[in-house]
Amino acid sequence: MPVISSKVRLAGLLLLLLLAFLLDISVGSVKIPLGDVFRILFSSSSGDDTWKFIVEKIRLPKACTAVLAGCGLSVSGLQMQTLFRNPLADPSVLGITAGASLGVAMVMLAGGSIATLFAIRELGVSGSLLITVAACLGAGLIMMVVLLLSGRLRDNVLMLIIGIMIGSITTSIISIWQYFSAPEEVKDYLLWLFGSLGGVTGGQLLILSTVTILGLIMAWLSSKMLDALLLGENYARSMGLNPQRARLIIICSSSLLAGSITAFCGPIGFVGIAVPHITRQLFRTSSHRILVPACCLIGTLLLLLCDVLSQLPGNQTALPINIITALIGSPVVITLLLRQKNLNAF
Amino acid sequence: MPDPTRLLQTRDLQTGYRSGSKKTITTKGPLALEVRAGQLICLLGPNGAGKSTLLRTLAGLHPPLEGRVESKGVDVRQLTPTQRARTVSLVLTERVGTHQLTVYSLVALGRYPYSGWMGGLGETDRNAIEWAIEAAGIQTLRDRKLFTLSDGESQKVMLARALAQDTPVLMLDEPTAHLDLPSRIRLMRLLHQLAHQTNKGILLSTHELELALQVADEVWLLQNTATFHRGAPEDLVLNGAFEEAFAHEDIHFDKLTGTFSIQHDNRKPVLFTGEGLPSWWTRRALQRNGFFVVGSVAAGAEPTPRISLIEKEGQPYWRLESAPGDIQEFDSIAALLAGLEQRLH
Amino acid sequence: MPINSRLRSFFPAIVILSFLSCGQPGQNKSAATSSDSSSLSSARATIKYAKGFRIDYYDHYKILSLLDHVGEKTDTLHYLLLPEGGTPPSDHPGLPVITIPVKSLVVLSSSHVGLTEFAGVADRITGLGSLKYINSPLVRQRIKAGAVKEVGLDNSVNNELLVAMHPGALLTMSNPDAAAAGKNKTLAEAGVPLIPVSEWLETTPLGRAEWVKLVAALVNREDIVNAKFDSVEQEYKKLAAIGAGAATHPSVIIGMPYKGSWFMPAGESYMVQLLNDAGAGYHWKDSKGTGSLSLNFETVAPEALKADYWLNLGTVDSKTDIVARDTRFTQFAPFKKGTIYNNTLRTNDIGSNDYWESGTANPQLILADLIRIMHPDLLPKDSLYYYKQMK
Repeated sequence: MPVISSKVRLAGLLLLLLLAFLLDISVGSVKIPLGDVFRILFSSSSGDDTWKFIVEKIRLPKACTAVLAGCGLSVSGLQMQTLFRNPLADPSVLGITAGASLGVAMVMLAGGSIATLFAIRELGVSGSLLITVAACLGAGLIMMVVLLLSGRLRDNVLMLIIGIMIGSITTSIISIWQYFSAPEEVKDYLLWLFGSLGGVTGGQLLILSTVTILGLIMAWLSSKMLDALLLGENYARSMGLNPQRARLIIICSSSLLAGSITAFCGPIGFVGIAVPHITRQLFRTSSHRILVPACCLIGTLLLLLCDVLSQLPGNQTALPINIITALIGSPVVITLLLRQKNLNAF
Repeated sequence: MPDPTRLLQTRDLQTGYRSGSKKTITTKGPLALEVRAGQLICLLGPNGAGKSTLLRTLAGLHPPLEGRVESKGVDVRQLTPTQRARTVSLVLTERVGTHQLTVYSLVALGRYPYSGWMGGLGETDRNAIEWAIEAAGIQTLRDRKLFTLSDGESQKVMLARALAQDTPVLMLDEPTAHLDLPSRIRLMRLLHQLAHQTNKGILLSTHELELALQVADEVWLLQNTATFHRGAPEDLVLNGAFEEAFAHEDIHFDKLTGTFSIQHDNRKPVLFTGEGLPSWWTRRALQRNGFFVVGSVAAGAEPTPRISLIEKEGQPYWRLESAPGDIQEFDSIAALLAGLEQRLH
Repeated sequence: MPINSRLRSFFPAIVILSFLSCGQPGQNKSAATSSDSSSLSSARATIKYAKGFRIDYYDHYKILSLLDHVGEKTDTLHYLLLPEGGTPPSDHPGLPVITIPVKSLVVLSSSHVGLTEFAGVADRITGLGSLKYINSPLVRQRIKAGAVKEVGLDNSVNNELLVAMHPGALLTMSNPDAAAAGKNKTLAEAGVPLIPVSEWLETTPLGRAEWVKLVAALVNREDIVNAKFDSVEQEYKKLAAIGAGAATHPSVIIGMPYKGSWFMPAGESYMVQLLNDAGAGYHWKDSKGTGSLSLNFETVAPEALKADYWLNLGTVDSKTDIVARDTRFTQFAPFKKGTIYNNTLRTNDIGSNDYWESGTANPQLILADLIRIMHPDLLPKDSLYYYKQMK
């Protein structure tokens, strides 16, 4: 493979990203000609109202959500892989996404009768916002637990194990609720589990953007710490890193990203674990100053493409995003890893 | 006025670790140690004696049980992590995980205490990195990926990183552990050179007694929790500290050569005369085969084989007199030993 | 097949009384003859619309057959309905026996409570799947008095409790799958006959309602139930004729999307039958399938933006609730025009919706509501029964 200058590579990827975004907006169940899509995007002339609604209110928010989720999940995964020096780590490894699921399950399954939901409604939070708030609270709760433990533990491996255990416990609790719930409730919960990029609009999209951008900036600013952690905690400490503080910041940032995206979109798998590997391979660097933005790029690209595919263009139905990310992503990662000379290189 | 050559100093130091209310002492001390500029200090001692704990305590990574470690009069535990990082740099035994890191990037990480908050490198930093690469002799490895290096090359890269950190004190924890013999020798020699050329104080813990004796300016011998010897290596040989530290029924420390030899049981006496290099090696061979060399035999003792080293046409020859009148000549040590074997059984 | 001639004279009285009792499903008074005697009544049920079951009447016993139409084949489950003390016939060996009249019933689904109530035997319910959702005042009273136990749903059905209760029959919602029947051998062997009542598989509203005749056969009340059903059928057909004669066919969208998936009834489902009978227009009425179409938001949006009516939204109570689910709904025509109607008018204080309970057995009430909503000029002014306008 010829050595492509990194600037050229970067430009190429940005172009690809733009194309992917446009593609995602242009395809869907309803056939809208490309020209009309552009007209709706860039001019204020109304044209067909239905098409305007579809492009502006359905496809555009979905594409934006894909961008946010793609960035957030991949960077979160990158941080986890570096912090634990484990190529199999992903955003869910600390149990944050399980925490979000816990919050949602509590509302949907264990929430009990509609009367309880009526009662919650009196507080002013209802509908999809209720689900989202519950997910955020659940993720936040687990994040507190994790941060508390992180302050006491000296070893990152212990942290990893505990995170996985927390995830297990949460999943078990949810399973118990599922077992005792009515079929409709379980079905609703399962639909949530499938993940969905649609449905994040208006105020919700604004909140998600803010939180995600915050998390991404935090991650990028801690690039130096992440670089040092590549050598392990002992060396990092000898270079002047405060491991406690570093862990705190990294966990905060990663949880913010993973938790918020899961709260709004449901759990989306695979992106967090695969994209850092793909990015490291493509950019051939371990410097996080480059990797963080690069992961955003690759993650967004991947998720936009998956979204396009999940729409089965022209079809009336759509496949859940989780299925597509796994189906597309796995072969990509396997190919990349096999092409590597040394399978240990990470 | 603090002595500028005294880089690190300890007062009443006692090292160990606590877990809960339990206290484990690894060096009772109280130790008053110094690391001086331009010196290579080797920390020797049996496994598990507490060398690593002492090293980490001196580096400020681990709290002492008693006493303190000072740098320029300030307790190292009171320093900020960055200040500490500018005082002591480390090379550890652990093999760094394989990454897409290039050698240059890894060495550049050594500038962590000095680089900008996003990790940006200035001119000073880049110069320091270049110097470190040259000093460690890894110029040819600059652009190689970490996972493609051999153990020896990898250790040199970690050394370069520590050098790039530009600290007055450099500490190494068993840096030769995974290396083959030539690499070990090269690394020790390099460290010796660096200490004298850069005026850094270098402290390393090692098992390589024989190499240490050759390169160390000072030896710290941690025999056990209560016993700690300190001094020039030669002094420790002569005053018997080495012998005492490594005394064992089947190990013998040869004060003359500074080497260890394995003792055998049921050794048989042999008379030997000879000079020069072949004589030294003949003695070793005899020792290995369970003989010990004596100068003379008491009257009335059992017949003792007598070996003499002679020279014919510039080549050494060994003459064996197993019993009075029973003389053989051999042209190699192997043959000599075989002959001895035959005669005695 | 015509009703037994002996009852013809009572027909008007029964019709009027049934009409009255239909209007208040909560009441369980039935003045007509009841047959609690151990002998079979001479009334027989004929099944005209339902495809999922058959009842064959013999002199001293009945055979209930449950049909599972799986693709080309049809699996059948048979039950022998035998009065107490009767001898099993020799020509139908090996069938599970249900002693009739059944004196106690355990019922797992709301719609089955509705069927039981229609048959006038809601007081025989001794067990429910869940006590959370129940509308019938009579049953609620009995629950308060401790006469009804909660036995659990689906996987968590408490077999021990059931066996201890020893009901005359257990009505479940599962498919009449022969394999599943084997799974419930435990109960059968303990003397608790399990009948999978799958009225929800029927594709016509009258077909669904006709399952009341199954309950009737279990309690020997064919005469009463037949009459009641006939009046339901007549009313329904009358309304359907009105709907068919409607000049306009306003377009309708159903339900709410969740996470990008919008389930719309498929063309062959019973809901679409109702819409057709109500003279409504439905974009997907020619689609195949008897269940739901899984569509995405984008597919439904073009229709929703210009639909005339929006029905059956689920657990929302007002326009504010609807907006809380998704702000984009405000752009839909029904939202702007205020023509959103939800089937939640009869939701009681514990949050249980009677549409799912009495609605199954009273499709004519649903149809009347739909016609009133969409063609207000076609029916005499009256208030809606199940439906409520979203404000």
